[in-house]
Amino acid sequence: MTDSAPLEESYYAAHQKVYPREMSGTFSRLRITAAWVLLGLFYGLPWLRWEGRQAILFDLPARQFHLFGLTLWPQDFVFLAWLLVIAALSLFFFTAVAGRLWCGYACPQTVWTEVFLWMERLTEGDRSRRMKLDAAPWSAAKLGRKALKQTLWVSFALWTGFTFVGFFTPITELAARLLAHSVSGWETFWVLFYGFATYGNAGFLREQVCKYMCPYARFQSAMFDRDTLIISYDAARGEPRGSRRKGVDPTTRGLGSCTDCTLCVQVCPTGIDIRNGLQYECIACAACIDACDSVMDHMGYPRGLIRYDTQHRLENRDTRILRPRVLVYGALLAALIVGFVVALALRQPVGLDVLHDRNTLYRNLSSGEIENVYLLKIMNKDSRPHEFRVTLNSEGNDDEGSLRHQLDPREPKFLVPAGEVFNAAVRVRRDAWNDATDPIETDEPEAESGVGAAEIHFVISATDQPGLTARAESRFFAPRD
Amino acid sequence: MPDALSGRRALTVLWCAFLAASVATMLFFAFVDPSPVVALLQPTAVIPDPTTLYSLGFLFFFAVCALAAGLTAWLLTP
Ligand code: SF4
Ligand code: SF4
Repeated sequence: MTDSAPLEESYYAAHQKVYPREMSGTFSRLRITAAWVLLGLFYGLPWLRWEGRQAILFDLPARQFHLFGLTLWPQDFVFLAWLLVIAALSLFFFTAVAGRLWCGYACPQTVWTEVFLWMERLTEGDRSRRMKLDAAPWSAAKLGRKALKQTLWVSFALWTGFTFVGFFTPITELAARLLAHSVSGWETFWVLFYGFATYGNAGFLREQVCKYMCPYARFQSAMFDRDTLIISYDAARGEPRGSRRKGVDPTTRGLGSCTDCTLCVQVCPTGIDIRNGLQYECIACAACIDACDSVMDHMGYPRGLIRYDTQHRLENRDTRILRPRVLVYGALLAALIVGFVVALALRQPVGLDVLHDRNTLYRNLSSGEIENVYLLKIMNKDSRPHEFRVTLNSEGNDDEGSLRHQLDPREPKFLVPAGEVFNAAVRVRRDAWNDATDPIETDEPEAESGVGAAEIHFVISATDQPGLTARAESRFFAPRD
Repeated sequence: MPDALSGRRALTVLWCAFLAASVATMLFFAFVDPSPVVALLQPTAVIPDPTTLYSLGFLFFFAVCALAAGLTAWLLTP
């Protein structure tokens, strides 16, 4: 890598540690509120209970996903995938309208970095103190501060890992096991794994994740157009920049509104100068807006030298919110959401799988009848228990009016607890096979060996809730004459 | 500075592999239920519970994806 191209050289420039300056203002308050809400959700939700169990739980061993009253099964995987598509499309939509809102306010990378920065400030002081501390030779005081910071960071990272695992394994039990020092090997591994990732991303990598590792940061510009809200510096108003004393009319000095105080650069978590125009490193955190507004207030100039605005308005042209791109994203999003809600509402919270007995194809009963045994897997995905009645609906049963296949006993009923799979063995019998009358001929391999097969359909219906039914198909085997 | 460069490369490779492996794990286990496998291997106790299989599954995908991403990064290095 000695002769890399110039572009690559700059792209892979050695990392300069960024010391973001803290700033207060409208947007930082908004950002902190968003961070509190999101962190509160992340750390709090696993502890929330709903109908006697954890409200949100990806129960991997049981292969169920609990979302408040809703239980999703692997068969409902499509809903999860659907949800992911909705999330992705929302991201497109919001990016087209208002730029990188996600990055500035909601991305875990931003939120956790904010917390880690806050801890850094707590232990090492503000920006200038941190820079001085890092430049200073090692001393007891420096060691103490650094150790304190690392302790906070590591504990917070471990708590994060613990919470993360708590989404997959009941968190109260996990906590109890933790206190009893009996956490399983894998749980420990995942707590450490996720804790380490948190520490690495929020404590160590920070803005480098956005610059070098984030796919969204690379393709978000494809969703931008000249009507997208971006963080922008009003160069027409700000230039020529230059320092001046408060109260001096800049026009008499031939200056614009920018006092060249570099505050906007100091607060930037990615270490860029927004005055150079829109750059892909900008995560739209709006810290520079707060910084610049505070300077404008101080100087008695109107706010908004750096502001949320669109390229078109900066060029003094009209800006349209509703444009084809936004309409298309919006329409798609709305359709997907409506479809999702409808599909979820129509989803039958019951499932049926039928397995033919593996060991015996059929049995000859002394009555001359043939018997097959099936294993019914009845899934009650509802949040209440249900009693299900099993009936048969086999081809050939109805057309001649004679019930060729019969359940034994006639109408078995099974009580299935909420959210469980019930395995029910069911016997079906019929008269001996008769080639002439049986409508279903098969050319399956069994046919050669003198065995015929007929399709039969099992239907389960809840006795306590009409319309709650499921059906599944299987085959009935019998010897041919 | 080759050190910063290779460090960043390694992290990027691992990160991309992590993303791809997460997707692969989700898709794979949406269709494959580990419990019969666990039951089958019960006597040997190699895989005592589904959690182990989920974890091993993820690590396997992670390793394969990291291999692919790493090779790609390496071969694309001028
Ligand atoms: S650039 Fe990527 S990692 Fe950074 S804040 Fe935006 S989405 Fe998050
Ligand atoms: S330029 Fe401004 S909005 Fe963009 S990342 Fe830096 S401080 Fe945040």
